[in-house]
Amino acid sequence: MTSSRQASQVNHPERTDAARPLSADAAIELLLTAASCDRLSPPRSTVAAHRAAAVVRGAIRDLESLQAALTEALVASQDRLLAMKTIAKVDFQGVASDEAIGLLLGRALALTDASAVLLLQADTVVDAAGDASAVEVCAEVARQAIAQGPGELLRTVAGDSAIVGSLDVDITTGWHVAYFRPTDRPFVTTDIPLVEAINSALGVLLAFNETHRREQVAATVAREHELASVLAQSVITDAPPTSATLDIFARTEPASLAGGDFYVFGQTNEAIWFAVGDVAGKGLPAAILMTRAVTTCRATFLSHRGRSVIDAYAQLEDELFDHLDDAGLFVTLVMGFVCEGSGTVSLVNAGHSPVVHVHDGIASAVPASLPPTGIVRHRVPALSTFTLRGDDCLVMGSDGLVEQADPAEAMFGYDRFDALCQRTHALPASRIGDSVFDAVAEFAAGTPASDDSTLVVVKHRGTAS
Amino acid sequence: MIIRTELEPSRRIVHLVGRFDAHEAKAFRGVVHPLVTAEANVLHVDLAQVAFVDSTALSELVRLQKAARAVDGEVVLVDLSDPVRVILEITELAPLFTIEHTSTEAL
Repeated sequence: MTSSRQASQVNHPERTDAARPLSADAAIELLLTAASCDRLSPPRSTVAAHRAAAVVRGAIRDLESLQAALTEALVASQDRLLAMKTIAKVDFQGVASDEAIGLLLGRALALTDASAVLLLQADTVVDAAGDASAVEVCAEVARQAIAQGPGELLRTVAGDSAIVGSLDVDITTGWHVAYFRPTDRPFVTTDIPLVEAINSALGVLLAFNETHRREQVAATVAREHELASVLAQSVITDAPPTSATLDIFARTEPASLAGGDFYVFGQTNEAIWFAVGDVAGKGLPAAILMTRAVTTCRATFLSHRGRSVIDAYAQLEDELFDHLDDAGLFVTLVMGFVCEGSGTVSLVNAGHSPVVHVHDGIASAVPASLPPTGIVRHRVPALSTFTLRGDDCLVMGSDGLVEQADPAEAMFGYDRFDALCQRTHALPASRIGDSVFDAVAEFAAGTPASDDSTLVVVKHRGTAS
Repeated sequence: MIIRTELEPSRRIVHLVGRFDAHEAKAFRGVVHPLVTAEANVLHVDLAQVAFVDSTALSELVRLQKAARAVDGEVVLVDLSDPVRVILEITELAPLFTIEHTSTEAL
């Protein structure tokens, strides 16, 4: 035991003042040498030491490879970060503009040290920066690269002197960016992160541009819609006609800018014609048909001074039917006239409600005698005739009033409407009208109207003095 | 509104549940109108669980009926709820449709 320990101490590297190994490989070689010099070690131990050294060397190589990969990833990550910082610092002077795109292309040219940068939509060069004389040649190279690899995000072509990228933002489908350098200074792997960052920024910028363009189109449409709505509503803003013997209230409140409800009057020698209607549907289409219905009613009133309400309705239907049929819409309508002298009312009701006649203090509905206009042609309506005397009144509303919901989604309803007409019938027409609108608003308790609300009230004051 | 369809070899049935108003018209047109074809020109619409119909909804039913008539068919309204029955009567639209009650005629 003693001699063995002495031999080991004599051959220990640190005891021999040997040079310190400069690498792991040199250290292993030194250990192997020491192992082979140990006279007490059997030959088998020396073989085992060589095998162990091979394993250690393999492990070291793996570690070195891993270290190289990590270093490369770190460098790439830092390159990407730097590229993003550079792009982020670009002052786009208002994001949504073609100028901003040009500015970014110019910056891309400088950042990538390229001779030309092209922005293409499909096959067309939309913008370019750099060598203007080379645009057509470069564009052809880009087109060929895109055609050869349509599904790729990045393609290196022309001996790595060009990179052609596709922008992958949904809204910019079909957009490509191509970067070109002289052939003696091709792109290398470390350029890729910068190109990707620029492509990403361009994609976002193009998306902003497209969104901005769509918003501008939508705003234009909205302005035109608003103007059309105002024009449509203007056809029914007339005050009701004045009469020495008739007391008339009329109001319409569209649920939105444009509505399908309407009322219209026409004054002839001794009678006042009226129509209250509702074009089914919502928005501008209903409003446009409403204006047509109003003008047709006016023309019909003027041409029917002979007081045949049924003939007048037939003419109105002839004028409107095809338009309504084409549009797949209909109009609920009550139309007729009231004699200024006698207070006699003659009307036809084509699917309209509520129409209430309060006579001797009792409210009763004036029922429809045919479906709304625009559904079935040439049906002959039944004529309703009665005379307004004393406090009697005729109340013609629209479904927006009776279908108004409260916060619990209960409807105002026909019964409540009839009872209200009955309760207020002795008041002047304007106060009856105000009472109805007030009652409906109170019932709604802030619940928005889902439909237009229209009301016409007619009363007869008696013989004019 | 919930739109449920039952497409059987001998009969096509649409069940509507909820409020049928202007907000539902687009969905109704998209789902129900294509069910009326020259080969299947009769469509049953179950309205038992419809709580409300407005004029836009009525115009959709009328439009559907016109489409069915154009292929020599018809729309059959089944089990009208009270709100639907009332509005169809007030507007005189009820006579435009065949109306069935499942108490007497099984679906």
